Amino acid sequence: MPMRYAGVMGLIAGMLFCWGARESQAAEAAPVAEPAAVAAPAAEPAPTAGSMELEDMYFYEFAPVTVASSWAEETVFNSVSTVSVIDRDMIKRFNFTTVSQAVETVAGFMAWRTYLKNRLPISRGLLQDHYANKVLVMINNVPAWHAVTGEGDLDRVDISDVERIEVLKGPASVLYGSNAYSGAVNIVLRKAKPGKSQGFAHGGLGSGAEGFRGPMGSQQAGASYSQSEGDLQYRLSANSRKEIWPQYIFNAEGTAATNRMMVNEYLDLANVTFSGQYGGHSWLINSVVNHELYLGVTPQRSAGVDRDHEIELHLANYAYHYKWEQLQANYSLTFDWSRRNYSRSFDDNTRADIVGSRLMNQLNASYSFWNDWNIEAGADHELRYSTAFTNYLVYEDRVITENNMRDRRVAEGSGYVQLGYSHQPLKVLVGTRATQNELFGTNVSSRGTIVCTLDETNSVKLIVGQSYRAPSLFELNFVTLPQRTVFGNSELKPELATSAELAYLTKVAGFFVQALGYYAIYENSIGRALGSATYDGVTYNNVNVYQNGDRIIAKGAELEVEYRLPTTRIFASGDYVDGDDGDRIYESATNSYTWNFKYVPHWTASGGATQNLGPFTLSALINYYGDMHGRVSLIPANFSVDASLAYQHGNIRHTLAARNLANNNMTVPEYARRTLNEIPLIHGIRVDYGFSLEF
Amino acid sequence: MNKRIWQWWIAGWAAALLLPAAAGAKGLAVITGETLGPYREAQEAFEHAISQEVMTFNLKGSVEEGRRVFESLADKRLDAVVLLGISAVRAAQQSTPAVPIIYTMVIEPQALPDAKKVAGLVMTVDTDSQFSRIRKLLPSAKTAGVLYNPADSEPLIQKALAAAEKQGLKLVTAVVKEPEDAAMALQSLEGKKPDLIWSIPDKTAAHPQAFAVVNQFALDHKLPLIGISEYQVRAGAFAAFSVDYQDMGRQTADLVERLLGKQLQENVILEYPRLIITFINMETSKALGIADVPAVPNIRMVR
Repeated sequence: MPMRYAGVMGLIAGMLFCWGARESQAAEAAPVAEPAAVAAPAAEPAPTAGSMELEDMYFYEFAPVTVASSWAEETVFNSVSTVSVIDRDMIKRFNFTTVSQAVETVAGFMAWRTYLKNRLPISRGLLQDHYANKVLVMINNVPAWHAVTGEGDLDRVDISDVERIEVLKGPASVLYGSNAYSGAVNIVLRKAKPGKSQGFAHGGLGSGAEGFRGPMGSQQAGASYSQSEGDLQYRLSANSRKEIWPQYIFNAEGTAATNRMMVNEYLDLANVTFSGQYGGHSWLINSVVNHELYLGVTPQRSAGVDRDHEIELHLANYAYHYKWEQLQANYSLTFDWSRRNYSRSFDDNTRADIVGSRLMNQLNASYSFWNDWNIEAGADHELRYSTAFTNYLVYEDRVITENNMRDRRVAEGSGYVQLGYSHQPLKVLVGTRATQNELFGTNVSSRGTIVCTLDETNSVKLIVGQSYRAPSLFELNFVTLPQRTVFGNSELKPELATSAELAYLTKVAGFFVQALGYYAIYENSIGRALGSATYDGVTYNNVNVYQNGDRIIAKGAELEVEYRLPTTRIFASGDYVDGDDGDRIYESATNSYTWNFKYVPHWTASGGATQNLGPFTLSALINYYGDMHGRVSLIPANFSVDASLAYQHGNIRHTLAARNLANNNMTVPEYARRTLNEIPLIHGIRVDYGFSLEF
Repeated sequence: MNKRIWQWWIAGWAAALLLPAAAGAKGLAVITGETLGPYREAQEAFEHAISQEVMTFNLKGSVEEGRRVFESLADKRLDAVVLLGISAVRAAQQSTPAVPIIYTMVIEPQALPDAKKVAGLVMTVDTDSQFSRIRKLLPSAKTAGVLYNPADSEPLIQKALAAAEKQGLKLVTAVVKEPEDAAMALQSLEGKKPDLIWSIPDKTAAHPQAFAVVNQFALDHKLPLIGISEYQVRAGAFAAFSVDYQDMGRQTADLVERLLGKQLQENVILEYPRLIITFINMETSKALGIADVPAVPNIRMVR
């Protein structure tokens, strides 16, 4: 409560400050700020020099920078959130191969793994337990996540289909609803330029299981076709990506020699994505089948290490957008089906299958009035359904258990209203979302932002917000049967977060700089810990039970710097985070203490530079993690370096990339089960060749 | 006269009256190069304004499709072919039919040597009109800066120097030979202390890559940027002098009527737009401290 009052006071103080600044500006007769002034840093990359007709230049549409939460055209400087944008130009120049690789470069954002899951987006150090249900993943603003366990998959869209990635850090459930608890990633798909038909094909090979001296084990291929003609525009793409990294020795849980094994990290992913629009109607379909290396249902050889982990995802969305003068209305219907299938035994005869779906209706309308004001209101309704979570015997084709998860469902509805005021130099947005979950009753969360644009290249933002996430069906109901070793908990309380952040954005001598500091309180964080659980009238002690943690307080600072010229692009981002141990618990099984921020590095940084030299583009990328703790020992600071060389010849682009050039073995703490100290994230050198063809 | 003679007499008169008319009603082919909204607007306005029957084709930006269209038209008897957009012109330059050609919605005059007669309506606003409008919009400006590639735009710059001088403006220039050179050229221009930046339809200086840099420079330095199109104004340029696409369609219809009505005797005719629109970016003008944009005719505010 005190934090809530402090937030309101902060917002009022911020408004007074900004008005004061405005009065001061008026007295000096200085011109007011202009949002378009900063469109360039994240604007759509201009085409490379070629044989454009003058008429193409005359009618060339420069895409404005917009973010999903805007009520009007927004730029980085006056956006009501601190959004980091990775645009197509950056993806192309730095030769990112996946969305998860790209978001690693954002300050305060990491894509980690646990023994159980890969590509977990982590925002501002709030770890994702076993599943990634605290950061919302969206494709073209359509939420996409597993109805049973809650995780979104960053790499369900091939990077070649991505126009830009918008990363919003901090509490965002007021803006986006469920699962945007500690952040949101919106993947915006590419589309044809107005009046054009465009084809795109790509392919490539890379070094494989035995490093760069070994066989060509990695392959990628894909094609897309897009057209934009009058009111109709669509894009269809199909991609396949197979990555095999050099082998490494994995020290699985336990001390027996049989628990040391050679494993190959791999990713074998195929997806199809269709996005279309006709007038106010739009459609989105995304289907993915992914096989990847898995480190076991527990990180033990007997529990499936080095066996296949299969993910199948299907997302369909229809939306209708209506605009009449100052009124805009949107309706969206989403069906999201997910399946995760993984091994639970040494011989791979026992596997688990988790299948769930979500049906979501969203309706919202916004209206602009009196020039400077805007009101937006909306309602969402979502039905989450757990079809099954079965353990089954593959060869016998027999279900062993359904883990108390068959036909579980929960409905959640929410309504929100946001009022915006925008009059230079001030922009204010306050909003409230009331969420009614059929299991947890009503929650009201609010968010307020003040943006003060001091002049055309300087702005200050104050954001105070709350967030809410209801426990997933898995966290509520799961019981490992017949072993009875992990229990969901129907008594769980929803997770709550409150945060305040102050950001300063400027542009100096061609450098765009965003610096911010934040203070966040996380309550009821959900995670597994040893405790007692009752099932079927029997109480089980010293078992893994989903529990709410005690309050955690975190504070941090983030810095993003970018320098951009047509031929040069340099960026650097870094963050510092420090969280307390309010959620500290003693674990008798391992005789150690654990808490969220024990495992989070205080310092992380990324940097990159790219330079065009005629038809060649050189780029280098570095990712750095400072010291961090594993369960028992320190994991020293480490870094990875990637370099790539691209050659553009007409419409064909060739790229040669070396990944992890320094051949460092980067590891991250195994914080979810907490029996191993660390698990590998990046290791070995890999060399890739790729080409792309635009026609 | 007996009945048979009457029949022959009526048939003869009918033939005399109808055959020449039928022979004359050959019609027009309208070939639109692109699918963008402005071309659609111009085509619809043209069809509405023209009194003759028209056959329409859309090349969707494909010159190859244009060749196929011209092949299909080879055995048609046409009064004229109307080309909307540069893709249609490019296709015609490769397969010009020997009929009168009227091209429109292009920026520069085009050569169609094999055509029977050529009339063109370009979108370019002449430099005198542009600088007289700049003078009204920015009365205190003394120096205008421009980037250009001499290989493309030397004649235009020579004309512009005189037009600017007539309005009491000094035009300072910086050479840009590749779009990537725009930042360096702007540094050179900065030393000449321009009060505004004027853009021209130059293949190097107006390239989107160069425009993005120029636009950012102008906004950073609080310099009004005069773009070449409404689209550049929407992207942040202060103003642009451009055309009304519907009126381009109507003016093209008028040109066709005059050409076919033999009111135009020359073999090559070039016209400029009769309606010029001044597009202004309201947010940019606010940022530049231009609270009240001076009244100029046919002004349209964007954003």
